[in-house]
Amino acid sequence: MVSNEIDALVRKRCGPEKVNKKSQISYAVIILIIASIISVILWINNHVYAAFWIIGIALGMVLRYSRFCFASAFRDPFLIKNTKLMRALLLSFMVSTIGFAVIQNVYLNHNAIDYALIPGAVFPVGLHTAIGAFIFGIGMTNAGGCASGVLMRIGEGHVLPWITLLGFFIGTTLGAKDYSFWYDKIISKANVFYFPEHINLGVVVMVQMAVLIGLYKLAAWYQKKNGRIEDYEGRILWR
Amino acid sequence: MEVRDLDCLYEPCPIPLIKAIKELKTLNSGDILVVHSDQSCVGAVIVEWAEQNNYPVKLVETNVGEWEVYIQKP
Repeated sequence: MVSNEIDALVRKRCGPEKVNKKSQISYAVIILIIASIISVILWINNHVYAAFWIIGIALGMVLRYSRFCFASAFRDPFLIKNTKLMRALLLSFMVSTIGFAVIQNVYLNHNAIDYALIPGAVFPVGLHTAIGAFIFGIGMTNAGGCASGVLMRIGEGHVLPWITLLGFFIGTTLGAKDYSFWYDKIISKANVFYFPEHINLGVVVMVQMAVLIGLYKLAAWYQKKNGRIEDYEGRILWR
Repeated sequence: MEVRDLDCLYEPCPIPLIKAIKELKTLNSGDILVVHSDQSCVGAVIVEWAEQNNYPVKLVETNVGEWEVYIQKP
């Protein structure tokens, strides 16, 4: 929605045509060449590192162009009553649920259950999870981005996230220093709860999908109540 | 019709949006607020908020990595 007065003001300030922006294609080509050389070097030394390098760059580009931001996904429902990114996150959880179910099913058919070897993070859950999530949430909102968002913005050319990255290093170092305290007090007493040990993997996947779909419906309802809802092309479905 | 500029350069998301919402409260109907920002996410999040709340809005990239968001109070 654009009003005529805004259009007039933009035309007055920026002139009839767009301001002549400096082309950045030459920089892009140089960086692409450097990235390709690094991936070739990594491929010669270790195939896995080259795969990490390429997947990392691809993920960064997707994050940049989709403006997908985990901090924003968790902050916007409270700040501006918008659950668009939260719903995207829930959809990605659904996709990864099915993906990991397939991978773990293949693994469990051939191997015994060993928490350290099962694909995916199988860790003890307890009070420490909630405390850590709360502290991380405060830091994430204040810094304006989580780990992936900060790295993406450094790549985008911002300087401020470098300071956030420094904070990350300090925080993880302090966390490693105090790990024994948390381990003795909480983590050693917490249990690993791996569902396929108790019930069929298929049932677990169905229950998890049902919960995620329920949360998605809740988020969509919250958005409808407070504004409008769009389809993937931006057409307004409900106002 | 008053035009007010809001300098939000170097401010990370979501501070420009909170500042813009505060500033819009002090404006009269028909006035235009111009938010200056150097973060790509800021433009996206302000446009999202403005459309959700039925404010006329336009996002202009004035230079490489610099954006101006025009919001009119309805």
